[in-house]
Amino acid sequence: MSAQAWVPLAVVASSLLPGLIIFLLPEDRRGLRATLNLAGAFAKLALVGLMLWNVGRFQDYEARMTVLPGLDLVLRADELSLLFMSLSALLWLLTTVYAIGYLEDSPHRSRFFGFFSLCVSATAGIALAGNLFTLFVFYEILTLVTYPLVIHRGTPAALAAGRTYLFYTVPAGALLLLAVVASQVLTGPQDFVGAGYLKPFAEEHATTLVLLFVALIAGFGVKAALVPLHGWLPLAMVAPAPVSALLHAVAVVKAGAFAIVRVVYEVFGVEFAATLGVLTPLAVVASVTILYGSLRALMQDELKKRLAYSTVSQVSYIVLGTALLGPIATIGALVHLVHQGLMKITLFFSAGNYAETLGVHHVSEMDGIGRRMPWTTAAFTVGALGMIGVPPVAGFVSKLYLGAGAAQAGQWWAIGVLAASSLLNAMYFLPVLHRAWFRPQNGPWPHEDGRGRDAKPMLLLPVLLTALFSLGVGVLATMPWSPLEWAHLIMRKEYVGG
Amino acid sequence: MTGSAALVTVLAVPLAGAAAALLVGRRGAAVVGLLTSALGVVAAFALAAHVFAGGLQRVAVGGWAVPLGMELRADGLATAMLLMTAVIGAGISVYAWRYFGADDHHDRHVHPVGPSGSGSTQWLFWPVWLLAWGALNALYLSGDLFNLYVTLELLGLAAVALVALAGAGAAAAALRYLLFALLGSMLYILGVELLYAAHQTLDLLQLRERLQPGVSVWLAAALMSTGLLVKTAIFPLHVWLPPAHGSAPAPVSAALSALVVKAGFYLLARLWLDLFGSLPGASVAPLLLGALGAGAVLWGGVQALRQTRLKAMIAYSTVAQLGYLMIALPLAGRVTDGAMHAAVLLAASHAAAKASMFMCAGSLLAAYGHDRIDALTGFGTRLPITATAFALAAISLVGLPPTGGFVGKFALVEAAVRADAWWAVAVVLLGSLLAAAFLFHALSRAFVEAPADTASARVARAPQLVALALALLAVALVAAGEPLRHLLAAGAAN
Repeated sequence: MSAQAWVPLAVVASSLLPGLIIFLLPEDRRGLRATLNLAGAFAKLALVGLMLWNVGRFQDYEARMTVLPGLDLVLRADELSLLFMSLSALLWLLTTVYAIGYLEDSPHRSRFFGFFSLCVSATAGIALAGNLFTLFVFYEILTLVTYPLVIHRGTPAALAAGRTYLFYTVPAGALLLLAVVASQVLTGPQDFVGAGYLKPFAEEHATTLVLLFVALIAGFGVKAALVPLHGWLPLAMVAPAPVSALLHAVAVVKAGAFAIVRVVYEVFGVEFAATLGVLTPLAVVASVTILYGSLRALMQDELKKRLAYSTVSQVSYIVLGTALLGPIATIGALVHLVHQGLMKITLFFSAGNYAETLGVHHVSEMDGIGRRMPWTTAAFTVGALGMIGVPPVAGFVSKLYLGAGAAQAGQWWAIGVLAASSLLNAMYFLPVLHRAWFRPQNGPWPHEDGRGRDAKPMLLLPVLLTALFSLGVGVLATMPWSPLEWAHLIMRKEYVGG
Repeated sequence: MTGSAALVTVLAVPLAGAAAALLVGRRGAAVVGLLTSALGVVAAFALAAHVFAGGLQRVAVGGWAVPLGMELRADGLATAMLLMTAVIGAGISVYAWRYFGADDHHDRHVHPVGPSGSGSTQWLFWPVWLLAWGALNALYLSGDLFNLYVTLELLGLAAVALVALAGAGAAAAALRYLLFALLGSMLYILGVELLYAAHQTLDLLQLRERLQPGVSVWLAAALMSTGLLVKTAIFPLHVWLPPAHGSAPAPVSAALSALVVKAGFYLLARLWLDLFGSLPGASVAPLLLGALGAGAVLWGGVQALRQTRLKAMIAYSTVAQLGYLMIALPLAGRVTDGAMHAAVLLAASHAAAKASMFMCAGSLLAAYGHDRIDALTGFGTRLPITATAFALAAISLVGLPPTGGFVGKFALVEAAVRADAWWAVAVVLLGSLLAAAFLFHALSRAFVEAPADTASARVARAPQLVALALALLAVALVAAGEPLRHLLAAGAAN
């Protein structure tokens, strides 16, 4: 174990320990609970900053523990893990602030924040996982600790959503177990490595490798909400808004997409995967998901449902970029991992603000809401325009690289998919913006909280910050330490072999 | 303490405790029980340390060498089972102390977990339970077939007595259990006699060297195995288990489900991996046992899913979990193989998780006055400690990380893939899906808001904390893989 092993362990512990203490707190200790949450979140952010700084100078961190013969749990910080880790650490902090404001006076807050912290710990484990086994272990833990958040409200709808969630994720876990065991038996102990490690086994085990790829993608594709494995996600929006933010931007869906990135680049190696012939089918699945999600989003009147289907679509941009061979598409996929998170959390925070402040849950109730809640709506607008791909918001940068990557890979049809999806994005977001800004209010708000103009500060501050970040990473995309520059850094590792 | 002294202590402590508990009678039995449990844990760890460092430990009883005398042996496998019995057994003792003793407690407004005031015979739990513990230890340490028969018989009778302690309501279940236990022993002893007639020794190691293939050996093997299958409650001979485990008081259910049924599995592993393993064509038998195990996993899982009462569900889950252990047998060539490593990990994790879960069921029964799963609404708010324990135990039983059940399942699937036994892979994975279905259903009741009019009986905290400790043990066993492998390898009998 290296001397710096404590750092990745501390990153996981910085949310795990506060979470465990919070479980024990009585409901009314709100001050202590908030302090613990925020202390953990700031500590995690500081640790991630430390790792970013050192990994940028090519120093890796690693902690290792043997579980079974030849089977290690490995936590390691490399460029790719930090891309996801930084995103989730930053958004955890903002979501915590938001959740403290959102859940004021609602029951079972200790339970909520406890599981919330465990979710973030599991996500940190996924980000820092140094091999397939570790990734799988934390992926399964994430399933377990998210379930109580999905059914948090205890209503029949919430319980049904939880059942559906498990119905998808538990069998996926069984499939992944099989895949991880099979790869363990095939290759022996192996850590993730740039450009993958399965190539030497291609001669004898080509069919097995294809099956392995399918099993891993299907298993991780459940959380990434690849069609037809997406069914749990739109239902899960019955959970409170901070949970939606967690599912869609910070942890769950992202974990699935991130795992797919790891599998393609650092288990198989993207160039080897291409020769194996598995990338094109994956690109097709991603494209179908992109278009299907957008089409379904178009049909939803309920705002959170529309956003949920939008996530189904947007997360597959990452998968599509991963499935296209070529450095530019890789950069597009990696950078969208961060960009989509920033934009989608902005949108879900905004939706939560509308629901909390005015009781507005449906698009059809949003006429004139821009005048009533200008700040929230401004943030929402930034997120929506970004999703469509309007410059200079983050989504533009992603789409630019994905499109150029498709061209570089010679997959012109993928450009068609991106264009069609952008059109659909515009069709389901622009009417919302039009209603919000340009239509007069058509009747009283469903359930006004009777305070001031916009949402309360605890809810407004996070959404303004994430909107600002969504703009910032787009405008400043070429600056050092931007997600785009970091994606460049990762890309160079993944094509070294070729 | 020397290795042989530790070995004798492990055997003597629970048996002496049982006698002492009987002698002091009602007033002091619980104290004796707790003291014995503490000593039992210390002795088991002392023995484990010797096996870890010095390999196989053996003692010739009375100084007579085999085959005239008999020998006690502790190899890695036996030591692992002894450790499991001691740690889980101690937990059960602490739980039982609060469960049966709550009546005498000054804190009268707290609802006792156990049946209140039902009788002057409850203290008998202690001598009988310690006797069962002693029989288990003796069984794991026995090196010859006749001793194994005696300990098996002793264990069976003690277990039946424990079930019968619940009173008239459990009489039918106890009687059924008794008949099955006697049937099992009878089949077993018939097999032993056949072997003795042919080979003039009962010592396992000597017998293994002298074993001559023939009809009588095969007949003996079949009789003994069938007898053990009955005792272990392996599908389709499991019918006695759900009523017996489901109707017993919580600590008894915990002891039976967590510890007693493991004895049969241990003996089957000994017979087919050690004794008969060298017979030509002997690999058929483990395969058959594995097939029965597969049936147990699926049948037990489906039946558990169909139960509407918590304790019955947990009991059927035991039927399924025993199936996993049987599946490991055809995958393992020897007791030190990866598959046996997986089986022992699974057995230990199951012991901790299942004991915890039956204890949780006891607390829930006390709080709600019933154990209908669908009506246990809001137990997360009413009994947060129990809900936490139940959740952790359930995660281990399903085989999800980070628990001992997960590592055991992973190792079992790995052994199956290495052996190209895809049927076993499929059954294990299907079994976990079934377990997830029924356990998460029960668990989700914790999150439902309870109706406002539910009477809120307060339940004692101490037993709930024991359940939590055992559930945490099931989680902590996630780190037991490597130490256990060393123990199995260090103590291998050559």
